[in-house]
Amino acid sequence: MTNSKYTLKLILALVAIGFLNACDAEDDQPKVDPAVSSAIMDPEVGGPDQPNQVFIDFSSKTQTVVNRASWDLGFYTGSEFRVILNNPSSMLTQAIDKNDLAQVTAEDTVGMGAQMDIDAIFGSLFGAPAEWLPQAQTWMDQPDGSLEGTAIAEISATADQNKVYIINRGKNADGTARGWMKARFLREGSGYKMQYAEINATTFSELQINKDSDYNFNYINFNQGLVNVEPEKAKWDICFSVFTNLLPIDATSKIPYAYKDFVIQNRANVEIAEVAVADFAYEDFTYTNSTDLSYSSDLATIGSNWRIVAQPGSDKETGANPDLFYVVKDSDNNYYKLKFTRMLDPISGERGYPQIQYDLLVQ
Amino acid sequence: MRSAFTFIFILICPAVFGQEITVTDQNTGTPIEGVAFMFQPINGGYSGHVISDNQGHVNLKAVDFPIVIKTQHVGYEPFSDTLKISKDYLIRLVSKNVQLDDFIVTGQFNPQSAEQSVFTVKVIDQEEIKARGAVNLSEALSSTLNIRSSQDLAIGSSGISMQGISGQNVKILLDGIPLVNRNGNGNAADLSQINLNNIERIEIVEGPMAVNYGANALAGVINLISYKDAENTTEISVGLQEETVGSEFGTGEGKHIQSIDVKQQIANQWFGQIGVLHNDFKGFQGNQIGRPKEWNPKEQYQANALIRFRPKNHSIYYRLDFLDETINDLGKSNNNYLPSGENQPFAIDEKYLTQRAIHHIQAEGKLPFLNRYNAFASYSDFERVKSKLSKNLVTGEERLTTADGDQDVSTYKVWEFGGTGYFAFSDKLDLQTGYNLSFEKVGGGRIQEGEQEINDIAIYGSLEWKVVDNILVRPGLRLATNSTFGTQLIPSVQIKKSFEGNADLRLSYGRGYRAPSVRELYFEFVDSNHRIYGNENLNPEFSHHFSSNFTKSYEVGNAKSEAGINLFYNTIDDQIGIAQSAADATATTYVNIDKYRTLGLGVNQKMEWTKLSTSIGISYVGRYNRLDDDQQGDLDEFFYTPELNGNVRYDWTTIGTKINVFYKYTGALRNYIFSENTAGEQEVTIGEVEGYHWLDLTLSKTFFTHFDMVLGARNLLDIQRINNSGVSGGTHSGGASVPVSYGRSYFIKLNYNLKLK
Repeated sequence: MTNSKYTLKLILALVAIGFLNACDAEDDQPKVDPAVSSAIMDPEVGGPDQPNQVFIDFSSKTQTVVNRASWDLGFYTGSEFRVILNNPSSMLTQAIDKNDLAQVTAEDTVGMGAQMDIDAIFGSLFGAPAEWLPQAQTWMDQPDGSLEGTAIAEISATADQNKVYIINRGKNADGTARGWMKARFLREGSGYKMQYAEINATTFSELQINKDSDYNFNYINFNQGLVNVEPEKAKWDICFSVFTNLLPIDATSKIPYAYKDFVIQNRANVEIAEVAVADFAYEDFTYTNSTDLSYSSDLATIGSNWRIVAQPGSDKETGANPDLFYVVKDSDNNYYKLKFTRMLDPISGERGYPQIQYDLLVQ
Repeated sequence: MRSAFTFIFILICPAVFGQEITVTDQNTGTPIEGVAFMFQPINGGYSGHVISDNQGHVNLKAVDFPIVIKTQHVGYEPFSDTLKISKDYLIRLVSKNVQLDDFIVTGQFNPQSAEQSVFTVKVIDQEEIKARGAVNLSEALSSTLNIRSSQDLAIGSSGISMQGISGQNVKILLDGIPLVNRNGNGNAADLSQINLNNIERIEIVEGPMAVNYGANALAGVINLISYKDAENTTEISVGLQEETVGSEFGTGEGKHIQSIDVKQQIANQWFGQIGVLHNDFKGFQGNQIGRPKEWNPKEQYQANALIRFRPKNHSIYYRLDFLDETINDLGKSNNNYLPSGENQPFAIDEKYLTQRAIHHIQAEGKLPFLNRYNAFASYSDFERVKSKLSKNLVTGEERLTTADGDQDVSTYKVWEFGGTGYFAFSDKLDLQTGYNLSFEKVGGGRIQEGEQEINDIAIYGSLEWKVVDNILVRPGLRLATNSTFGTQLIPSVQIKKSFEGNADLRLSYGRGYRAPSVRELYFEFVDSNHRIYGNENLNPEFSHHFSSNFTKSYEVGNAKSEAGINLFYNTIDDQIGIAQSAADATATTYVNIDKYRTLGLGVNQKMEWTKLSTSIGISYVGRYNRLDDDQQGDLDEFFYTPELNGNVRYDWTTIGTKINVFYKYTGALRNYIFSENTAGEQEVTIGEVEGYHWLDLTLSKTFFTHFDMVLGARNLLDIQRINNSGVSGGTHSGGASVPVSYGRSYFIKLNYNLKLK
């Protein structure tokens, strides 16, 4: 008992300090790392349907909230020519053996509706084993974020080699379908050109996308063209989002499955290590301890590990996993320890109301 | 299980005396004087007792047959039987040391000894229930062969499987009426909600009893028989039981049980009974820290009352059973930092409130055109309220949470009407016909439109035909029509052949069926990752059951022995499983797609000396492996699980104490799983749920005439969780261990009994 009282006092003290420092952090001092201590943040994930992607920057203690259904594709701004899907909306795609959008008709998509759909994939588990199921994971971008693992092949400099993709735009936060599109991607100077249309359309639109290297990706929406989604790549560390991950269903297959309360990290120089409370108490963890950890740039390092969701019949309880915390190295080489303090809303008990605490590790 | 020690010593045959019963010694043949005969006409009417004269004669001319008789004599074992017609009988009594059966009723035309039944019936009698200190059905069945129990810690329930078939197919009855629960009308019961106060005995019949009891008894029937009479004018019993929960005990820990029961003969034709039980399980903290407990606290109140009226040729009773149960599932503390920086931790708690009321009116007796009738009407009303609350651990404020499915009320209301008529055409041919009407109304949050109804109407008939003296054949047929899946015709046939030297062979074939549950028919659950719908077009699951049983009684020295061997085979077709909807690929639904089989072999042996009795049983149950169906490669079709049980009872007369030992080994359950080998390749391997040994020891003693005391240790080997390596990956898998118990616990049970003549 005395031990936990002591811990509580310590937390309260740290919180008080954090609150004062947080005020300092709001001063506009670009590029200077604030000495953030015990910052508390409530990412606005948006409740049980989790409609938002929330990009968090530890140094400035800011969050950028974007509706996860507000975009369709991201175009890589680095040297490679790569296109990513809107994974948070469970978007899936596959190429067909045509390279002229005008030649594509509904006949080219026969059967796809019952396969290339996040719910249909899950539904197929209940019944005779579906032959196509092992392919399902190739219809999504690999969750580790590797560019080689995108569903859309690298855009070839030879225009004819770029095939038409049939795209299931996935689901809105309320569960409604976002519809289907056909699209083809080409290089255009140092940037991209996208040809796109509804499945049955005999004509198509074109959109030019340039590479802006302040960002990891430049985003488009089929309806609105170019859109802003993720903050500049130096200005965020982790992102809360629904995330289509690979769910192992048995030894032979993994399937795309939408995880709620998922946390991904910035691919631009952010690295994260997981720490077991059994090895270090969060409160006692210092910069010196951070040097021995092994850091990962897998986008899903935190993933769903930070939280526990009770399954029927289990004696586990839904909530933040109290046994783990994380150390985040940001693109400016600051080290933060990060703890997920809460998963549910303290009053409604609903998911989609997380809370985090983080401290700058003073070097 | 006194049936265990029973022998076919008693022969009844017509004698030369006119409408008289003659009693003789079974060994010497000499008449016995001073045998008290208590007789009770089955159809009601005058009951009483007479004493045999020095010729061993008793005259029963003035009595309405059929009657149930019981004998009492200092030097002889009591004997009871049903005498169907008025004629001469010779009864040969067995000198003391051999105990006899209780009567059984499950599936019988008339109450009779298990011995005489065409079914193989196991009985757990009052003495065994007491000796175990068993408060609920789960505890009473803890060392029964072919029954495997499971615990759900999240909602605090206890389920069983029988003959390797899930609890959805085990029908639990209270005096022949299905005992309704959250998931079914008799089946899929929570055994921890079935308390045994005022239960006289438990009758277990394996194999489908579909002709008599309808759906959902594929694996078997467990029939709880309540007390409906008392031997004295007034009987009062006050009980107190204190039990540790593992090593936890105290006012806020452990298990505390209080009960009171009063039975009273009110007037010459009236009898009344009333009883109350309070069972307060404080939960088990175990390895949990802070607010949560490994086993959630559960408090139960149970009350029952009976009033019985017995005019000439009839007996009518009304019985009320009431259960109130509260389970509290306290959540762990979660941090919550307010904008002020203050931490106000909160917890999400769950509460389950269950209430069940059963009203049951039953009449039985004799009509001018029927040798015996039985008619009943019952109404069962079950309600479970699930509440989820968020609690601010600083301010103490509690609020209902608002996530989908957090608050739910499940209701199950059942009206049942039924009746049977029994005609004895002749000594060789008896007929029983019956009808059953059942109206179920089920409500709950995830049921389409919030409430659904299922109606079932059935008629049935069975014949018991004594083909020759030692062969009894019982064919039966049930015709049922159901509002959701139409008309079914269900046959069964049992054969019993008796051999010289106290041996019996029983063969049984039965067709069984499980009606689709309301959930399977009308479920509706849609969220971001699930789209599950019920299927109104489901058919029942059908089974064929075959079994045989051979029992022989004999003597070894001065020990009475009985040996038995059992075989069974069940095959279930059209088993209901979850499948992708044919109409909508993005949804899943319930479909009749799977098949399942079980088979088993069992042997048992019982020995009884004057003070010591022992029994041992072994069974080997094979469960069908579904993977065999849809995977290539050489996979075993069945996985076998051994079970072993043994009971020892010693009557230590010099100190007036009875010592009981109950043991059971439940073998490992194996299944195929997918896993990754050291080379990183996926392969099919065998996983298993570990086997475990269960051992109980009790001492019981009566003192100061009115007090009974039982001291006991449950789960002496301290089993808590068993490993489960049979889990494939995925978010929807269970844990790597399976809870069995909270560990070794001790109890003391004290009963004060007052009997006034």
